[in-house]
Amino acid sequence: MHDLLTYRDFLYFLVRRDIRARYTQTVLGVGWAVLQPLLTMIVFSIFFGRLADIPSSGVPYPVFSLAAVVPWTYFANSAGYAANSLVSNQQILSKVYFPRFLIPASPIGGGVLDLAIALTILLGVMAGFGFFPTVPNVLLLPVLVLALVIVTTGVGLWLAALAIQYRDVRYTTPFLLQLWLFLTPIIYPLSVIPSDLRWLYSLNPMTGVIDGFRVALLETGAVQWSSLALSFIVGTVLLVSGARYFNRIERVFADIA
Amino acid sequence: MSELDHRFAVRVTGLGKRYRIGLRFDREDSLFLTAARTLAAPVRNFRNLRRLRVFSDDEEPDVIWALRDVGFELERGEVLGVVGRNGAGKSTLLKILSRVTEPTTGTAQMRGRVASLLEIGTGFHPDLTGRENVFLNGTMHGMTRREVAARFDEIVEFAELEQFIDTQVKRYSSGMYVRLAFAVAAHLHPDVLLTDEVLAVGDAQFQQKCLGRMREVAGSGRTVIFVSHNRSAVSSLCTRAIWLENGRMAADGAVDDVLARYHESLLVGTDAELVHRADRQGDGRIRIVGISFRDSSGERMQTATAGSEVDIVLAYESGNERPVRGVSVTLILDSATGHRLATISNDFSGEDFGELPPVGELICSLRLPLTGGTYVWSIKARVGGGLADRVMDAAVLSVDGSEFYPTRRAPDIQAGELLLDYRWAAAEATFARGRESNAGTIGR
Ligand SMILES: Nc1ncnc2c1ncn2[C@@H]1O[C@H](COP(=O)(O)OP(=O)(O)OP(=O)(O)O)[C@@H](O)[C@H]1O
Ligand SMILES: [Mg+2]
Repeated sequence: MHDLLTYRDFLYFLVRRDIRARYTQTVLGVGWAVLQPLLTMIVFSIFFGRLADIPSSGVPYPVFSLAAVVPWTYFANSAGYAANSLVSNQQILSKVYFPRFLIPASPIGGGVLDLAIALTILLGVMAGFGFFPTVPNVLLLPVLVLALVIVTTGVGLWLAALAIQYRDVRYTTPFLLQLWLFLTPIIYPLSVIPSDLRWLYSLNPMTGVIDGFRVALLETGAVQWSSLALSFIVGTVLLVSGARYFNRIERVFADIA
Repeated sequence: MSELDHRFAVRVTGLGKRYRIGLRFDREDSLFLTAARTLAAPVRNFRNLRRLRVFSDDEEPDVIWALRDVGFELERGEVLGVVGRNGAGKSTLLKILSRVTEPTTGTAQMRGRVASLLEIGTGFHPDLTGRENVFLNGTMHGMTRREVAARFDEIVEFAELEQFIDTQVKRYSSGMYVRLAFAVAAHLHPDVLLTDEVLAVGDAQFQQKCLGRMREVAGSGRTVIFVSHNRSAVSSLCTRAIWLENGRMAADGAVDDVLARYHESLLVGTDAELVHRADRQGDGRIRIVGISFRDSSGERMQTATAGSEVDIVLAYESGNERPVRGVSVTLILDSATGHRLATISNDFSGEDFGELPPVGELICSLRLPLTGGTYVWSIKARVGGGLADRVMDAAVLSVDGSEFYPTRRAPDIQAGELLLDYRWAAAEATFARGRESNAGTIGR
């Protein structure tokens, strides 16, 4: 805890560095934070909305998918960057001491900026389709962002600590995240899952978060409190166990790096 | 930490670090295989996983102690040099002290803020500007943003990079990069500063500047641990030194004593076994295969008397077993603390050996006006100007300085390495005035 205070400025500059590295090295700069969810939305709308005619809880498929793609993009990108973070910072890890969790924390914290930009775009697209968030539901948003960050941090810590020990983790992470996307109500609504299986399905902590985003912004149905509660519970378990595992492995980072 | 005795800045007890060599090879690098094996043979695999962190008591062949039973205490303001051969455990010691890695046994306690410079420029990001890197690097070493800001101008001035500070560091020359990195490190103001081979980078002028800065840091009452292969830097910077040998402490004491002992150890047996030295340079047209020291009656000796004549006898072999011409030989004399004292060569004295037989001896006769201590000789041989053989630290010679002056008293090595032959006289005051006016004449 004392360490965190000492090194909080380092976290700030680390986040800045990661954001800068991401934006200045690319043709479009900040544009990617906007384009990535938008392009995903367009592709999903054409293939799943139009061609496959997947139900979208009574709202136009583009807004239906974008409301899910925005938080999912944050999760997938941040967890992916976190998985790589220790490996790509190995050199510093073996030379300088600072609390190690700052390294995966940086992309998770920095991703919040992308999330904010993407949420603004989402509100714009919603307005274009005549949707405006209304009061009781939209208040759920901060709670959902909190759940999202908890789940992302938990998964990110696990992946980071595993990736520095096992080479294959880094290469299979994108694939696993791809599978995970299909196991989460992103291209289809939660309602297609039979209700007696929903608790099982909601053990995936992203289920409650993603469905929550739709309910909060598009009022696609009633809040699934049990799914949301499961998101928090599973997310916290991931976070606590991830932090403990990370702590244990942390001591040998410098030796195996 | 609070119960630590106030006089001590660093206290290390029973420190040991065990590494499993070949760690990366015998452990599965793949989570998939590890999982598969765990399913196939859960018990054995669990044991394998534990082996990474848990060592059984009996010695295993693939385990080494990079550090063992190291203990010392430093008072505030002490400057400790750490010397030892490659792989002796110096970097490992600093990594433990800086908390980068954990010791297997023992404890290391430090008072106050610790900054470590295990490698200059670690964590610099090429896409960021000099300014951004200064902040990133400073905070990475535990400074706050405000502290970095307060020292920012000083850092930039030290690095002499005022015009380039807002340029991305990937556009820097390697010298500029190193200057900036050292400047940040030099302004960390820690209570304990740990440095590992920091002088190994940059040009000679910059190294001089770094050394000067290190001296300032040391002089300002900070505790410094300085790891270096540069013996003269260690001897000029440090008050105390420890010598690590295979992870253990071989000596701990006053810097010149430890350096001298360390140096002697490097040379043990070398004069007899020069022929076996493999770390030579040169094309081998001639090789120096033996060196010995003899007195005027031809007796071999281990200790020379300062001021009396010594023969340095070099046994050589020509590379192709034929006579050689155009041979020049250079002997380099260093003090045990690494000061270069003299370079002697038949080139300077204008002596030509003519055609040398394929095997033989070259003898250099000289007087050594040296203070008592150990001295180190290195040898170079050239044939027709091209380097044929070079053996660094080829032999060590002890010198006894006590017989040089008729009083049998002589300054010790701290007062300088040279014993000069001099005479004193007293003169009338007019003599001094006369010299003054002489000097005036020369000046005009
Ligand atoms: N991560 C590691 N895994 C396994 N062995 C290691 C590791 N790091 C160091 N060692 C071993 O520990 C020993 C001590 O290494 P160390 O780097 O401390 O030596 P050193 O005194 O700094 O040498 P040099 O003068 O070359 O810098 C060496 O035998 C080295 O191979
Ligand atoms: Mg080293």
